[in-house]
Order: sequence, then C-alpha cells, then structure tokens
Amino acid sequence: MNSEIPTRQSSFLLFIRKHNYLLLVLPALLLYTVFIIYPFLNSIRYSFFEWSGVGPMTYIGLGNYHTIFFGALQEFFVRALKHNLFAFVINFSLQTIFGLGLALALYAVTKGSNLYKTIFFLPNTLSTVIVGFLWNLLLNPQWGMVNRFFEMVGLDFLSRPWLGDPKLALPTILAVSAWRGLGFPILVYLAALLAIPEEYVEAAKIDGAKGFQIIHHIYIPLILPTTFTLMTLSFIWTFNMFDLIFALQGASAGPNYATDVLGTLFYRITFGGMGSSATGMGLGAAIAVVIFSVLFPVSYLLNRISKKFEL
Amino acid sequence: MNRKQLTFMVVLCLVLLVANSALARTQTVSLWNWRGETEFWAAVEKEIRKEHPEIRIDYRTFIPTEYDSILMVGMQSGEGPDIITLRGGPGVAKFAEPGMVERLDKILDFSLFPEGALTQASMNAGVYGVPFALQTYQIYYNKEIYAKYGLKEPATWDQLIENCRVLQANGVTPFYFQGREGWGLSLVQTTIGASILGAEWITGLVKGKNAFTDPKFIDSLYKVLELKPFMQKNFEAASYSDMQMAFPMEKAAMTFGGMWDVKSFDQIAPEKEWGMFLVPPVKKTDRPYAYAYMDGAYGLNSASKNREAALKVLEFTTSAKFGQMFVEFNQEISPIAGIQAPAELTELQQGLKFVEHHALPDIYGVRSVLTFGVPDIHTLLGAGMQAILSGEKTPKQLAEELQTGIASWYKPFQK
Repeated sequence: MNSEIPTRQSSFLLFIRKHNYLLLVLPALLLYTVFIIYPFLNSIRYSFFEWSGVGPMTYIGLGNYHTIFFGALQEFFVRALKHNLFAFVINFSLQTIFGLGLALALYAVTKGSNLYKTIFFLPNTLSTVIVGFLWNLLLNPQWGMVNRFFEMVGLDFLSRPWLGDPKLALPTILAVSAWRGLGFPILVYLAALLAIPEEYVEAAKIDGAKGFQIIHHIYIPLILPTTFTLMTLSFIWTFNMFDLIFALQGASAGPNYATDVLGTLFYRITFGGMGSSATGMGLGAAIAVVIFSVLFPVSYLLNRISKKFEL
Repeated sequence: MNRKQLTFMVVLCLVLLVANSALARTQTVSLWNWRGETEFWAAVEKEIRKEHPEIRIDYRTFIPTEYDSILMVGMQSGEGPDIITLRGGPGVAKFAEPGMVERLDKILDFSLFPEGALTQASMNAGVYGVPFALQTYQIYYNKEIYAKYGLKEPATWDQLIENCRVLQANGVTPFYFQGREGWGLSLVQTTIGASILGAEWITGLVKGKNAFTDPKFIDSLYKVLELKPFMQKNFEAASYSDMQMAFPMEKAAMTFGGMWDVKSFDQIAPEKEWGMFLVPPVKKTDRPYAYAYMDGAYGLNSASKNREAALKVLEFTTSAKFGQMFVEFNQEISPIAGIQAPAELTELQQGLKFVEHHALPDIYGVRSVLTFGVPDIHTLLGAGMQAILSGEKTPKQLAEELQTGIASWYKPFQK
C-alpha cells in the first residue's frame, strides 16, 4: 500500500511536468466550464422538464421536443426555421455581392481608401439598440425620412409600411442588418485580396488575361476559403439572430410572426413576451438545444469544406 | 498628538458612531416594477416615513418587455426584490403557485378592495398581491374636431361608422390606429368585443358554453375590419408610441387607447380636450361594456430579508391614502373603493364611471384565464388581428385558430 502512494504521486507529477501547458489552460477551462459548458448541459437537462421558470419541475421526457416537431409549436418552429434560412441566404448573398464588389473597388482605389473603409465600417460600431432606434425613426410610416423622401420625389407608391407589412418586414430588417454589417465582409475580403501575391496577377497579365478574367481566374479562387469562412460566420449569425428583430419588432416578431426567427421564438416561449402570458423555460430550453443541434454540425461541415480550399 | 487633534479625532469618532447607528436602523425595502413611477414612489416613501422613519424604498423600474425575464432570473437566483410588482392574473399565479410570494389576506386588511379586483390577485381563494390599478381601454376623440363637424358621441356602431364617414369626407383621418404591436391590437379587439359580444356571451365563453367559432364572435372580428378604411395611411407600421404622439398632435380625430394614455396626451398637448366613450353596441337598447382589468399587484417575496419593513410598505398600499396618491400622481384608476378623481381630471372621472357601471364581470383577453397557458389568447389574438388586417387570414380562420389553440390546454374548452 505504502509503496504505491509515492509511485502514484510521482507519476502524477511526471504527467504534469510533461504536460505543463495544461496548468496554463486551466483558468480558461474553468471559466469556460462555468459559463458555457455548465449552462449548456443544464439547458439539455431542462429540456426534458415541464417548467415555467419558477416552482416545481415535472419530468416529461421528450415531451417538449414532441411539442416542437409535431405538436402546438410545429407551425411556429417551421416558420421560424424558414425565416432563419431565408435570412442566411439573403445575408450571405448581400455580403458576397456587395462585400466583395466594394472590396474589389477599394482594392483598386488608390486615393482615399482609408476614408471609404471607415465610412463602410462605421455602422458596424453602433450598438444594436442604436441601430434599431435609428431605423425605427427613418422607417416611421408618418414622419420617417424614407417615406418622406419617396413622397417628395413623387414616388408615392414606394411610401410603404416597411415594418408593418408581413411581406416587407423581414426583407426590411435584413436590409438594415446588411447596412450595419457590410463593413465586416468588405474588410475581410480586402485583407484576402491584399494577401494575394502580386506575381500571380502579373503572370496572368503576361499571359494576356484582362480585368474580369483576372478576377475570375485569380482573385475568386484564391479568396474562396475566405468566402467559406464568411459563409460559416453568416450561418452562425443568422441562426443566432435576435437582437435587431427584438429592437425593431419586439418579442412578438410581428406582424403576425412575419419576422419570427428561432431566437425570438425561444425568447417568447421562455420569457412570455410582454409578460402577459405563460412562460415555458423547459420548452424554451428544448428550442435552444434544437438551435444548437442545427448550428453545430453545419458550422463544423462548412469549416471542414473551407479548409479543403485553402492553399 | 496635540489637544486640537485629539478633540477632532474624538468628534469624528462620535459623528461616525451616530451615523453608523442611524444607518443600522434604516431598513431599505427593494421594489421592482415595469412602470416608470420614480417620483410617485419617492412621494410614497416620504408618506410612509412620517410613521416609520426607519424605512427607505429602493425603487427600480425596468423596460416593460424585459421586466419579466429580469424578475424571473432575479427570483431564481435569490436576488429578487422584497416587493415584487406582479402582473395581474397569470402573473400572480406564476409566483404564488410555487410559494415564491406570500399569501397576504391573513396578514393585511383588504376590506377596502372590491372582490372583483382581488380575484385577479388571488389563487385558490388566497390573496397574493395588493392590486394597484384597474385599466380600461376605450375610444378617445378630439373634442374640438368633433364640435367642428357637429358630431356627437355615438350611441350605436352604425353611428360610429357614420361619424367616420363625415370626418373622412371633410379630409380628417377618423382613426389613428397602431397596427405594429400585436398586444395593442388584441386590446382593440377585446374593447370592441366587450360591447359587441356583451357580458352574458363572454361569461358563456369563459365557462366553455360558447366558442370563438360562434358567428357572434366572428362578427366582432369583422367589426375591426369595418374600421380599416378609416385608419391612417400605413397604419400597419405605426407603433403604440406613434399613436401616443400622433393623436394629441391631431393627426386623427379618434384613437383606441388605455386609461394610462391620458397623461401622455395631456403632456403633449395640454391645451387640447379629449373625450372618451366605450365602443357603442349594435343596438341602441344594448348596453356598452368596458373591458376593465387589473393591471398588477404588489407581492411579498417569500425570501425577503426585510419582511417586517416590506409588510409596512404593503400595508400602506392597502390604504385609502395610497389609493388617492396613486390616482393623483398616475392619473389612473385605483381599485381601492371610494377613491375619487380630482375635478380637473375629467377623463379619469369618466373612467371610474366605466369601471363602476360598465365593467364586464368576466374577460377573455389580456389578464384573463385564457392567458394562463401556451398558446395564450393575448398573443394569438394580437398576431391574428395583424393577419386579418393584412388579408392573410379571414375572421373565420382566426376564430378557428383561437378555438383550437386555447382548447389545447384550457379545460372548459375541451368538453
């Protein structure tokens, strides 16, 4: 017995000596466990209970998941998921088309490039609440600048209830989101373009390639990994989308759930929207687990694909 | 240390000692609320301190849409306030059921409260909160505009539509309508429903004898659509706060609004005069009804560390003095019996009459028993009204959706 203890101790010390980096990782690991792993595991646990957030919890097995996929929440869940996918497609398309386009323009510009970069990135520095407040004013149906402008120039038919029409509300919010976030893909694409060795372009020019051919055969293939990274980020952002919709439309994500995404659905179910309705912490936790189950594998897959395109 | 320094040190110690003992005696009662009433609660504290100088009130107000989540997290973590402002109906039951708020009817005197007001602060025959405000929702009109076109308060629904036609023919927008927030539309429908459906039918609905799919209810949904041609352009995107600003600025002759709106109307246009009336019934012989509901109640946190002091504050909230202060400061209706509105607050006086003579005995929208489960009527109705107004759904489709949604958890509908 006695002889074993020192041996174990020494083997532990040996292990620590060999892997001393673990000691350096430990503080971060502890914080990560307390603030990420533990709440996440707890969410999984809550998802198996019927619980309003206060009071006793009743174990219902997969009951909450049944409610989401086959029960009363199915319609809400499917609609929110479709809105998230729509948001992803629009967000990714806008950041690729305008982000890359403006990055190429900035790449070509020799004078005032820094000023343009600052202008494009400026909305990104604003908080969501400010963006929400600002666009609420601009899009106000009565005294907002947007409708006023259209009326002034004689385009009355374009004076619309931008945030009140079920067909227009989500595209309007996505446009606001693009206005706010476009600076980021511009800068990332610009960095990727600047990293392309000048020799490649010169070699192409010697071979007779011109303008669009250089973009098509040199720039685009070389910035493909960047595009995949942006696609992954766009997917994560749009599937976690909540703040801008909450700032502009509130937890009800109106009109008639036209802007409802998984984030707002989660919030409304968990905290009861305006507080005048019942709350379902267990059901909300199940929605959160479903969001994670979609986000994690897709993000992982996109990440793996992007690595394949790296040179 | 010379004599002067020694004297200074002794005096300083004495001052600190006195200050410390005074601080030790002070009992700070924390109170959380979603209503911006900082000045009102400062005045309440002043009043309470006349009898209990040791009590201080730490009043904190939160954004209404964030209040419930903050409160829930606070209560779960044991960091909740001593006094909780609970929303009426399900809001009280949510915290009473798990014993997070104390039963109060055996500790406090509720003799000044009518039974109807206590119902929405009760659970299983026990009272768990002190009700503080009764709300009504009605139609406001601009008296000057009405007088200019020789209009009178309508006695029937048809007269209301006729008034709208006269206003529109004279280039005045009849209604400023907020269509962006579902909760506001739900209030509009229940306000119209109160008079169109009548007390008897609504009681039958709550008891499960009537259904949302009855033609009478579907007709009440069509009534909202009847008003659509008289709403301002792009009303779908107008928010509640837009309405609160636009109506006093004479952007329209009428609007639907709550009792709580009078104060903001008066602040924006103090020189203007508003009149208010309940939605008129279809027939002149029918009675108009007010959708009156209890806004909220003050509950005592079971885990309060200042229970005795908090009870003293709550005791004051059950008094006629508190009721009077509430009416004068907030210009809203206190549920405490016998509280009169000051003569200059004419809208409030009228609101009191609505509650006294026209209140529905049972309600089916906000704060009603139909909001106790998921999906709740307030949310379904709000979103559904937006769908009707945008043409995405018909009133019949919405009625079926309401019936199915509520029947999924509300027992009287499952018979």
